[in-house]
Amino acid sequence: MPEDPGQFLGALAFLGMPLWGPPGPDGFPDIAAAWASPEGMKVRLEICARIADRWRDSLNPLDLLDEIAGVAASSETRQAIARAESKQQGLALLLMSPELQAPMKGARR
Amino acid sequence: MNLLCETPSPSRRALLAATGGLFAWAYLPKFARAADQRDPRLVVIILRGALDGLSAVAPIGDPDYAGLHGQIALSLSGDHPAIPLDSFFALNPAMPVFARLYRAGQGAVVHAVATPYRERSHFDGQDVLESGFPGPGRVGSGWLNRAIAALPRGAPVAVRGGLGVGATTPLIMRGQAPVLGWSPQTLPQPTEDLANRVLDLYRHLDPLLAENLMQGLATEKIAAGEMDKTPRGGFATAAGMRQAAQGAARLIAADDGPRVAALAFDGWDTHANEGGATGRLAQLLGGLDCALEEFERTLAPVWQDTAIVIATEFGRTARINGTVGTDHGTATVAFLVGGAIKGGRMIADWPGLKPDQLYENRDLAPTTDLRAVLKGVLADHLGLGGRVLAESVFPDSLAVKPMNGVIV
Repeated sequence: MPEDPGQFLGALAFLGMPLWGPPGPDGFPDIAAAWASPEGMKVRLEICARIADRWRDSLNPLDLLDEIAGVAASSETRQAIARAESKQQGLALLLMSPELQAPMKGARR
Repeated sequence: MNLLCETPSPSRRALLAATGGLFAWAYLPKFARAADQRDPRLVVIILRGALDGLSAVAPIGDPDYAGLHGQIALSLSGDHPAIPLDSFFALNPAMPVFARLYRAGQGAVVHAVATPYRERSHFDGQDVLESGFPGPGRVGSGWLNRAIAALPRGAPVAVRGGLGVGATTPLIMRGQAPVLGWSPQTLPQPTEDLANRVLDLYRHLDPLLAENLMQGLATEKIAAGEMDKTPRGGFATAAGMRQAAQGAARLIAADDGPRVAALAFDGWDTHANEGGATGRLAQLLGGLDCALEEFERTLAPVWQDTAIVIATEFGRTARINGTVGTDHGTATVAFLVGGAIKGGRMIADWPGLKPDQLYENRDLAPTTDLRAVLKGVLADHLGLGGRVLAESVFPDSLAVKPMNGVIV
């Protein structure tokens, strides 16, 4: 449990998935239009950039990629992160990578 | 007033919050300031992403420069002529404030300078630049903090500690000496550079995400339209740099404030469409120039005792690449600014740009160790001894002698 859940709850609501607040009894929709909408992607980029700014250079994005995705990480993502101009930008790229953003292979599109 | 600079709305709350932190300093015993005792201010600005030194301060007089830098090379003619600094070097026209300070003897440029790092990773390069160690050693403290910690107890700088600007303290300022943290109120927004990198990744891996993110960003742009004049913060915009400089300057100008500040500006990794006298890099240099103007204005009462050092992790290739940008290189420039700087001069042992003079046949070769410059500043401005500088501030650097005569 994070020390201050408020900021995470706020971000979840911003992203259209308030905690325990799905729009209907069948839960959050799993079609691409709902979980990868243009506005939603834009907001995700903003939130990822903010989280990365908070972490800044305290974490090495390449180490984190290994820890989270390991061998499942694509060479493209690894390269994009390695080429980032700062650890902060690398962390934002990691958070926005397809590996973290669209990990459900079976998700309906 | 530089017309290129945007003026941010002063973020009063942020400043109040930050100055609240000064109470901690107020409780410390005050030292009578003897009339002859200097009370120096030192600011270090790190440019993350590797600045192209050949586009910031161009060796116009080098016969090989124009050919290597191609269409983005600066020139003394045309619509945006570079500003001559001497008979050989000229400054990017996006930096009129620095040009003025240079002419007033309060700005100097060190060229063909580099840290001891010789690989090409931003992370490791910044680690070396900020830690002060000869290699990326994963050490948790920075040279600027260790410099403060090494001062004699009771020295004004030691008593009041350092200032770290940003959501977290940059590595250069981390360590045992007390550090005040401050961040401009506006949270940094994602830069266009980050968005482009994410889009590029999506295009390779997930076209649907690429399409949607592109649409979302385009919608935002239209909605914001001309109204988008408010500063968006972030340390990669002119407004953000000015805002960070203004806050930092106010804090270190305060009687009981910290005396040494560290800032980091982002966005200098210009692989594509770098631009020359105008364009992406010029905009960033303009932002940096705005920050200098802000420091000069806000620190006016103590400007004579102020030194500002601007450095980056490494330089960029001498030759432009296929996307009209430059790739990771080696030597670059460092700027020295302030009333305490013995300025109005270029400090450069120019290595030349012929193929066999380039480092690994691609980069400007380093002829000055950045640590020599930094040591010169720390020695003459803060009064640190050579032994401390060679052992605890910049470990294993006995062979790198402090540069003499950097400070007035």
